[in-house]
Amino acid sequence: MQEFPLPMCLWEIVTGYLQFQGICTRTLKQTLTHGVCMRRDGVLLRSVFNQTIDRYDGDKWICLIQHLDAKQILFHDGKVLLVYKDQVTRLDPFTLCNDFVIDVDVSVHTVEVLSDSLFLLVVKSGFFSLTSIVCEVNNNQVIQTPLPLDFVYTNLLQYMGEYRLAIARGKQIDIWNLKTKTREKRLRGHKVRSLLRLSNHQLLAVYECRLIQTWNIVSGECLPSRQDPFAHETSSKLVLLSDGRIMDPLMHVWNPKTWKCEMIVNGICTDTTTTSEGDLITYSWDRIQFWK
Amino acid sequence: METLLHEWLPSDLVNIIDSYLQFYRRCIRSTNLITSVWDLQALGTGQFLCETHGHLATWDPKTEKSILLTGAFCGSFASQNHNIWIKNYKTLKRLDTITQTFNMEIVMGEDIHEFIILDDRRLLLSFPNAWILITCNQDAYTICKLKTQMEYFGSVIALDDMRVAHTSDNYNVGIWNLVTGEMVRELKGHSHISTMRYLGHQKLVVVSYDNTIKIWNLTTGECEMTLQQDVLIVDAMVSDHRLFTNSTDCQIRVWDMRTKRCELLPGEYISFFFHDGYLVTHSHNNIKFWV
Repeated sequence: MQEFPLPMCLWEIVTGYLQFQGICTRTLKQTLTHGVCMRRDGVLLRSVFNQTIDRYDGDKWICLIQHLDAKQILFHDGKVLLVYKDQVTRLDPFTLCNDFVIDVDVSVHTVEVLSDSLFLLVVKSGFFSLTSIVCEVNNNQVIQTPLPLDFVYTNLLQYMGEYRLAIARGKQIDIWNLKTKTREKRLRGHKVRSLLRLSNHQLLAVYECRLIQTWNIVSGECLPSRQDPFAHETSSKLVLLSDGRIMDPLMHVWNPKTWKCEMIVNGICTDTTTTSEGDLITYSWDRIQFWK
Repeated sequence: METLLHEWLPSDLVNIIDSYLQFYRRCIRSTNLITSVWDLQALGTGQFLCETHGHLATWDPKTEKSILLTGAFCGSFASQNHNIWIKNYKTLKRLDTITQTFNMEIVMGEDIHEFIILDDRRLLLSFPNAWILITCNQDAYTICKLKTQMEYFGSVIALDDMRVAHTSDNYNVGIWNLVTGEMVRELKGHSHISTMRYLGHQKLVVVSYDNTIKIWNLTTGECEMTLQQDVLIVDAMVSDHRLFTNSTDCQIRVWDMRTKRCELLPGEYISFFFHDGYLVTHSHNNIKFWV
């Protein structure tokens, strides 16, 4: 969004209208939520304890599926991705039909959703080693591409768009092209704590030594590091807001141009998702909040 | 042998011989690893300390056996003889690699930003605008808040004799005496500072974001050498008259500090160090020894 070719003065005017205001428009309490998804048709779904999928009818939660007993339940393109020990399936929660089933010879370690059409399946390839399969979904057909990515931690992985995936391992960030199956760049910095996509080419690295640094993943250049301003009190990831600003786990909103805190939002947030319009939805185990 | 050559031969001839001898250019051992190694350090026991997927393990280069020491943690670590200090948010723990047990835990009131090992007994913890000196005695420790007048958080590295180097702002390095709590020297003339590395023998390397490398003599306060590289440096070490740098492109460059000529070590590496007369490099799944 930041790369839209508008003159800077016009860009400031546009973002001024689209700016995140930190106003809570709606709160759903006592939700027991593990995961939340707002589909493109406006239907709100939740997963509870990796067991059930519910939809919200505007007044109460209605159970669509129960007794799933999955290792992981994720939302993918408005549907439900069920991760079992040796199988991954995508289920339409309304028709209860499987879009696809992926059987895995070895044990599934974890699944990470990258975009509406991509997810990363991490499998155990040995006693202490992992490997990844990039799954691209097109008309319910899955194209699987094995890649030597031994990803473990969610906060050390960031999908950048344009089939580029950033993966941090210790002091090194690798930029993989999932289409060409090649590693485009290898970037060396400090030990990485988390990654955040600022734009398709700009990647923010948050380091263990409490510094942050912005990388251009195409040129390999970086801006000078500076002191990390973000709160680290919870394990939540940083969130890129629709206006280009960054929200930390304590819901402080930072301007990445000035690195000043411009807003403190009064809410509780364990994880986030968005509406189809790009508005922020935050959720924790006991509430879902909608923001403008 | 190299030093002897320098003493007895004309420098032109030494350069020619050097180019044939090519110190640390010959890989004599390459070990592939079954798991991804994020970081590698030498322990005082002759073993190596490996971080793999956030776990710590020892790896013995003689037997090639490894022992898992910890579960996964997010944080940083540093080794001191056979001990490892592990930082995790507000907590600092000391792990004895021989007994494989934690024998000290220090819990602070807020997140520890950085910690550095000063000597066998003392650590320096940095917080925004404050430094805390920890002195360890067997299984107990004392805390002392140092009165410094820092206006800038910066980064700090240990020198020797209870001194540290601190990026007092983006452009200058302050040399602090922790006993007196005073800044004893300031090194100026850098652009935005990226990295510092103490080489021992009163030599400090300071790297700036414009890719310049300055080597300072801390006794005289003079800049002895300025080099310019084309890629940003993240680490530097010196062996004899050669400066080894690792950069953001993961390449190790070897500078001849007399001729200012630079060569690339083939391959990509996460880090490197000198151990037992070898240059040790590591990438994600490989450890190499160079002579």
